[in-house]
Amino acid sequence: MDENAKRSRLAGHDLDELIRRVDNLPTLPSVVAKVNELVESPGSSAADINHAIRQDLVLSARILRLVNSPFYGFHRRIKSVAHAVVILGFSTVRNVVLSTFVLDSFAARDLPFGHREFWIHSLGTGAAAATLARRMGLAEAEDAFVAGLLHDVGKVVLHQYARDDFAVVARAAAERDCLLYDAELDMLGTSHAEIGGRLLDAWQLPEDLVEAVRSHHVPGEAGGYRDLVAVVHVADILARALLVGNGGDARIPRVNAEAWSRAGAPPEGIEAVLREIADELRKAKAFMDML
Amino acid sequence: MRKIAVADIAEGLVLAEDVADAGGRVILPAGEVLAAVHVEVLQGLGVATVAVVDPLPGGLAPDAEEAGLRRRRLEHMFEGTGDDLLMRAIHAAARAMLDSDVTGRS
Repeated sequence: MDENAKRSRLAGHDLDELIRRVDNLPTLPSVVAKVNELVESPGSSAADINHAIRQDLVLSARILRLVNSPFYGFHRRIKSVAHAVVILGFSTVRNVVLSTFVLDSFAARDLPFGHREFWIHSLGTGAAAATLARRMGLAEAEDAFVAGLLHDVGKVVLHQYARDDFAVVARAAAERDCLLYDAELDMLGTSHAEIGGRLLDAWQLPEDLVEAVRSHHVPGEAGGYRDLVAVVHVADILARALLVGNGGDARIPRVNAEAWSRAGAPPEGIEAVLREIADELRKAKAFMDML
Repeated sequence: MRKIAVADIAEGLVLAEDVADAGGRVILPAGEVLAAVHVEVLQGLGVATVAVVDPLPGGLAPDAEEAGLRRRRLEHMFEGTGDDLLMRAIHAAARAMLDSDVTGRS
């Protein structure tokens, strides 16, 4: 099949089929969905969240391991989920639950560009996003971590639900030596960012997270939450510059100037930021051990 | 460094030399971490064997040889972005960090 025929096949009616498949994505497991729902509703108590999490013993154990890792930096050992909920706060607990679920259920897939390298890139982007958000004084730096961790989740979705087409796109990106994102737009008419946004939206996760994932390649087109969008856009680029993992191609996106002025650093300060990110990533080792 | 058949590429091996197409354009830079997709690309280019090194341990504080490969990968990644002042600044900072990590170890 020549290149033009291949392109029109992928960008034609298959796009509708692809979107349908993605819209029928599996829902969040009930524990994760319940914790998310409780965190989002104002009447919930710490006891409610504790009760929901403790329905799943494996999840409870993983949460305790993560909250006691250097990433959270508590001096005293957190011994119970109830204690973790009180000390970390609701949305951080939701983020831990969500990270645990995503790394558990999506990590063990045979991505064409290597699943371990891919998730290391995602963790690196999370660490970079947390660092940038903290420097900006953005409300919760740890929300930024999850946004970074999930920014490319659409690539895993494409791999799982449109495997053959996505393999062709990944190969084309390598042959053309272009961004995977550009090959996706060209050949699929959609992108991992759009698909990832749809997934998180279907999971009823917070809007800022959805927007950050959906717009991380086009921060100028974000409908809102521009600080978090800018953080994830810049974090993706800095994680690549640090050669942390592999996002699926050998290139680096150009940074958006407006997003950089929100989330970046003065030119002479970039190296210091890169060092902070590398330190943050070392602390996130507990997440890497889950891969 | 060792030569292996393209069919024997295992995920995580690191390319030790650039791979170019017939026109001399580098398709995969030395330093690229190999995966399944690269096997097809290399076969498509008619490449039978490649030079590889084993995966870089940890990766954040490389020795001189690793740093050379990482440097090559970095340069390839930023190719064509030099007209953008911000990209130049990010590139320079990333390069400085790689270099000082090597200096710091020796």
